This record gives sequence, C-alpha cells and structure tokens, in this order.
Amino acid sequence: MPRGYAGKFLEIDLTNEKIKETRFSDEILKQYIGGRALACKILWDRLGAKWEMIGPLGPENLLLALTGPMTGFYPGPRICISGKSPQSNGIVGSTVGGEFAIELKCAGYDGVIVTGRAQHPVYIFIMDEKVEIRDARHLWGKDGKQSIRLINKEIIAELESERPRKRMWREPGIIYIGPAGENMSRIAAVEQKWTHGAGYGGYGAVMGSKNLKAIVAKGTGPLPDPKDYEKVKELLKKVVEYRLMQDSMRRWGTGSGGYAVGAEMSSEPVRNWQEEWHDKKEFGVDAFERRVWLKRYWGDYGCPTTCLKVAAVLRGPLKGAITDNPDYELQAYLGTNLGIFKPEENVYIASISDDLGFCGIQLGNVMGFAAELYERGILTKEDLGFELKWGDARTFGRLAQMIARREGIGDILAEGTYRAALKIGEMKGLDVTKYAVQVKGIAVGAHGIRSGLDYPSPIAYACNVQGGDHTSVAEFPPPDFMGFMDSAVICAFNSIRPREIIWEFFNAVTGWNMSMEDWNKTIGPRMLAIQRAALLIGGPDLGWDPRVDDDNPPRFYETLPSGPKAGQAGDRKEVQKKKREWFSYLG
Amino acid sequence: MSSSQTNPIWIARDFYNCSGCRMCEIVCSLSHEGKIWPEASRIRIFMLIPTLEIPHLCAQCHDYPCVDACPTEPKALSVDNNTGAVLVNREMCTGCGLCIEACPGDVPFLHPGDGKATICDLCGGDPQCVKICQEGRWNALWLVKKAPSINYKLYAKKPSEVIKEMAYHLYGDKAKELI
Repeated sequence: MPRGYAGKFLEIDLTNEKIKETRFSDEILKQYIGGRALACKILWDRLGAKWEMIGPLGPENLLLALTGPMTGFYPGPRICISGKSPQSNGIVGSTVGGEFAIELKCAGYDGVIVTGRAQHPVYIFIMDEKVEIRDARHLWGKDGKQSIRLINKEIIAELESERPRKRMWREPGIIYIGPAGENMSRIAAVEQKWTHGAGYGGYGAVMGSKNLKAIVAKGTGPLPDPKDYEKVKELLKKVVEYRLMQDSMRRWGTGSGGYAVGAEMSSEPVRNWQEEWHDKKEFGVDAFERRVWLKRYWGDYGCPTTCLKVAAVLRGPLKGAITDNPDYELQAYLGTNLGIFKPEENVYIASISDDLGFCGIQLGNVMGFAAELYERGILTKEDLGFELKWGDARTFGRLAQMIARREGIGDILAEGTYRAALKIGEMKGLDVTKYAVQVKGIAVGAHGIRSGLDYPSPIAYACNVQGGDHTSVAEFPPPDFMGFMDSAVICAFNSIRPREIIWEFFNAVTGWNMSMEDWNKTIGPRMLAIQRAALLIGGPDLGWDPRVDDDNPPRFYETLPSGPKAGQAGDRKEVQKKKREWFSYLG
Repeated sequence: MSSSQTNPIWIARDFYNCSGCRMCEIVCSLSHEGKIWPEASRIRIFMLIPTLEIPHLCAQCHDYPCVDACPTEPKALSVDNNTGAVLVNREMCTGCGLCIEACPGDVPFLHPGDGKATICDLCGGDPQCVKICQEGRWNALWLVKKAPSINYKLYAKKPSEVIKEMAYHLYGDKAKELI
C-alpha cells in the first residue's frame, strides 16, 4: 500500500443504516491521489452512467469527505467535500480547513462516502473502530455555534463517563451544516469551527438532503506512517520556516484586500459588480484591526501561517457578532458587494452567514443580485416585504435569515443566483440573468477580470470546471495547480516556492516518484476531463451549452464606470481566442 | 519542593495568544514519539469553543499530588532534580490513572499506545513547544525560571473551568450562549 494513507474509507448508507469499509487499489490511488481527483473517480464510476438523471439533492447522490495523502503532514489540513453539485450539476472539489481531517485520519480512515438518505436527522460519529449513525433531531435547526456547542458537550460527556478514565477528553473534529443546509439551500456550505466553510458546490444542501447534520470524528492513533519520516520532518521544517517568513500574509491575512483590491486593482465587486472600484478608506484593514480584531493569529492544526484573525462586535446595536475577521472574499461579498463599508457591519453579516451555514460568497452574490433588482424596480417592496437598500446591514441580515429558512422571497434566493434569476425572470416576464454574476450556476469569486490588474485571466471563470470558483480557476496552460492541492488536500495558503519542494514532500510521504510533469500531463487532465464531462452532461434541472455557457457573466462585458480602468470591459474576441487555445491544449 | 531543583523552569502560558495552530503538539509528538500523534502530545490544545484555545500541560505543582498518588513501589512518577518536571518510569507504571484523578487540572493522560501515564517532561530543560511558539511569534508559551513568589499549582486547571473566564473576558455577555 502507498504510504501516507490510512488505507481505508468508510462507506455509510443512511437509507439502510449500513456501515462498511472500502479500499481502493494502489493503482487507483496513484492515478487519482485523493481529494478532488479521487472524488471524480468515485463519482464517475458510481454515477457516471446515469449522471443526467442523478438529482444532486436526491438520495442517489453521494456526499464525499476525502483527505489526501499529504493531509496532516503538510501544513494546513483540509477536507475535500464533493458529490454531484447542486449548483453546477457537475463535480466540484470544495475544501475546508480544520481538524476534522486530522481526527479522521488518526481514527484510521482516509475519507467518508455517504449514500442514501436518513429517515430523520442524524449525525455520524466516528471514533477509531467505532462508527455509528446517531439521532440528531435535537440538533436540527441549530445554528453553527450552537451545533458545535451541543455536539462537543455530548461527545465529551460520553467519553468522560468511560471507566477507567484514560484522559480528560477534548473536542472532536466536526463537519456540519447550519439551517441553510438543512433547508437545502443550494448556497449552503459544509462548515467547520464556526467560520470555515466548503462553500463552492453547495454541498451543505447535499448533507441537508440526506438528513445528515454532521460528521463527527475523534481519532486516538497517530497519522499513518509516511514512507520516509526523516525526510518528511526535514521538509516540514523547511516549509514551516518558509511560511514563517511570509510575514505580511501572517500579519494581515487576505483581509488586507478589502480596501486595496477595490481602490488599486479595481477588481472588487461593488453593488453587485456594477462597479469594481471604491475608495472607502474607512474599510481599510487598519480599521478592522483597531475596531474588530480580537485575536491576531488564528489557524488550524499544524498551520504556521495562521492567517485568520478573530473578530467581534462587542457593543452597539450589532453586538454579539463573532467571526473570523472577514477575509478578502467576505469583505468583498458581505461588504462592498452589498454597499457595506463599515467593519462592524461586515463582521455582523459574516457572523450571520457563518451561523446559518452559508457560503459567504454565494450569499453575498445572491443578496447583491436581489438588491440590484430592487434598485431597478424589478423586485419591489411587495415582493420582499421590505425595502432593500445598498448598505443596509440589518436588512441584509434579515434577508439572509429568510434565505436560510426559505421564507418569502428567501425561498427563491435560496436556489442561488442563477436559478433565482430564472425564477424571477419567469415571475416578472423579463430576462434578469444579465444581472446574475455567475458561471455555470456558481457565483464568481471576488476577483474581476475587467481591469486586467488582478490575477484571473479573461477565461479564468469561463472555462473553469468549477464555475465561478476563484481559488481554482482555468489557468493557462492547464491544468491548475490548485487541482493538485485539492487532491493532496492541503491548504494553498501554505504553499512554498519552488513548487518542486511540494512534490519532494509528496514523494517522501507516499513513497512514489511523481513530479509536476505527472500532474500536468496525466493526472490533472484526467481529473479535469471528468469534471468537464460531468458539467456538460449536467441535469436533471439544468445543463450547460458550451457555446453559450463557456463564457463570462454578461456584466463582465459592460464597461467599468469608475476607477483607474474606467471605460474598460471584458473583450469577447480575446475570450474566444484564449478559449480556443485552452481547449486545444487540453485536447 | 521546587527549591530543591538545580534549574527549575516553567512554561508560562498566555491563552489569549494561542492561535490554535498546534505546532506545539506536532513538535512534541515528533520529538517524543517520532510521529505526528495529536493525542500522544504532552501538550494538548483544548478548543472546546472555537477561537478560545487553551494550551493544557503540566504545571509542576510545588507539592506534586500526582507523584504522591502514584501507588507503585517504587513510584513510577518522580521529579526531575534539574528542571522540576514529572518523569514517568514506563516500566513501573501500571496505567491505573490515579495520577489523573490526583491532578487538580486532569493533566496527565494514559498514552493511547501503551496505556501508561504520560506527562510533560520539559524536554529535559529545552521544551520544543516553547521554541516553535516563539519562532512563530505567537508567544502563547514562554519559558521562565521558577520564582518562589508564584504558586504554579494555580495553573493546574481544567480547560472546562478556564474557558468560562476566557469567554466572558473576550465576548462579554455573549459568552452565555457559547459555554
């Protein structure tokens, strides 16, 4: 068996309450590694033949939670969540940081494959050899903070009651959903630790559709042995030293971007992307630091970077909001995109988004979309039940609650921006998809292409097998390196240059002799081919026509009204040219 | 008594600085076990409430109740003459768990591998956890020379007690909903 793997996966059939262990051959692991690429293999083998018929929110879909061989060894553990995506109807590998992956691997499993649908809300408890499906009716309806609180209390009380007592027990690793996932909102995330979400893909809704509130893992063993521990230790030291030198990233995280990306790069969504520029200095990271930061460094198991910051609002009308300080994406989507430029209000919305279990990007995108429709008079006070004005944090908070519980207009917006646009268009008898800033059912991350000053290329989203995902965009030449990080299942914010060191690390763990070349020429394209095929087959509710849908959102072809690149827009000819190059390269 | 040691040292713990990165656990288990093994690490970060991370490790009480409670003859637990750390003789330890019950902070634990009592040994005077925490500038762990004016036993507390104080200190009334 290759090293670095625990060697077995758990397969849990919620319909029949059956639990078994599954193994993959060395060949399959070598060809698909783990995480996203392995998810493609599993999904394609099991569902590929009838992909079009598989309802992402039906019991026939799978929910996958997969580690990779490097998870736990390389700094920054994540778990890759996948399945047929209720956003794109394709396959998204959506990773989320936290201790769950470590606990799972120390319990002896590389991943969990969940099938079927439970009769009533349940959670899965995994502790070493013990695996159980447990009642979660008392947890259903609880927000993120309460879910974690109750699960921790329950598990710790149980472990502490064991005799003889072996230790004071600490919290397990938990992946869970909030009310948004329970109510099968397609923009619901699978969460960890209050604030971390696997957002892209909408797998919170898949868990909800299975009546699965959480998967809880506690492992008391060591990580499985890598091939060469001495080498792993040496490389780990190297990576940690390198990361500790990335002092700006450590000190500010990506949250330094809320002002700078707008003001300088002009690629930040402002009021549903009507602009990508702002000059609101009061939204600068220095203000966040003084006004809302409580903890300067926060991170997950074995992370030297600790780029997260804990933030809270401790007084005033928004008192009680706690979250990790919104990173760049959420400063943009739950800030500027809603016309919000106050740190406290941004923290307030982010905290609500966390608690309800949303992907903050998808939520900010769909609420911005709704606010623009209100501004244009397409959605009215009668449709919403209230006025929806840019910058009105309280009302956006209320709207988020309605979306999570599918109340009123929230029921439509819970479907995500694209599907909401189709429904509202039908209701109003006009095409509103031109205001939907999304690609293939997935809201575009908060880095625009129009100014040309930010990293995404003109086809970054248009050709992306993960739709609007900004973390793993269509890179040129393909395939994207993020696909590898999502398959080895490690954190991109702990990467090191030169990248060869990551491969050296990978080989020291697995005992293989792979190189970037193997990924670029074989494994990566194989993964992308499956993702692409699944995406184009789509179904059952929506499919994508490559001639129409391999494209940017219409808004990206409107000219930027403000900022250093005012008057500039996406160039259709350039997009066509790059698209041809990309597809001919991929073959 | 601490005064009887030649170089009594202590790991000061600054809970509010702890990032929860658990680099300390990684270096601890690598140096003691040769593996990454969270539940065998002598320092364990408790994260009962996310964002409130609590380094939990031996406080080297002046009266060593764990050593007192050790029932074997001779005792499996002893005090390092140099640093004041509690040392475990794994040959002698029967894994009875009385040291856990005697500790006001429930710090010792039975090793998930061999079932023997496991306690921070201060790495013989050069604790690896402190080193990495300082290198990373988190400064949640500091190495200090023991001083007679401080009662270190005060720090032998259960994380479940400490966390209430921390939650109220950091989040005010909101703590009620989090505990």
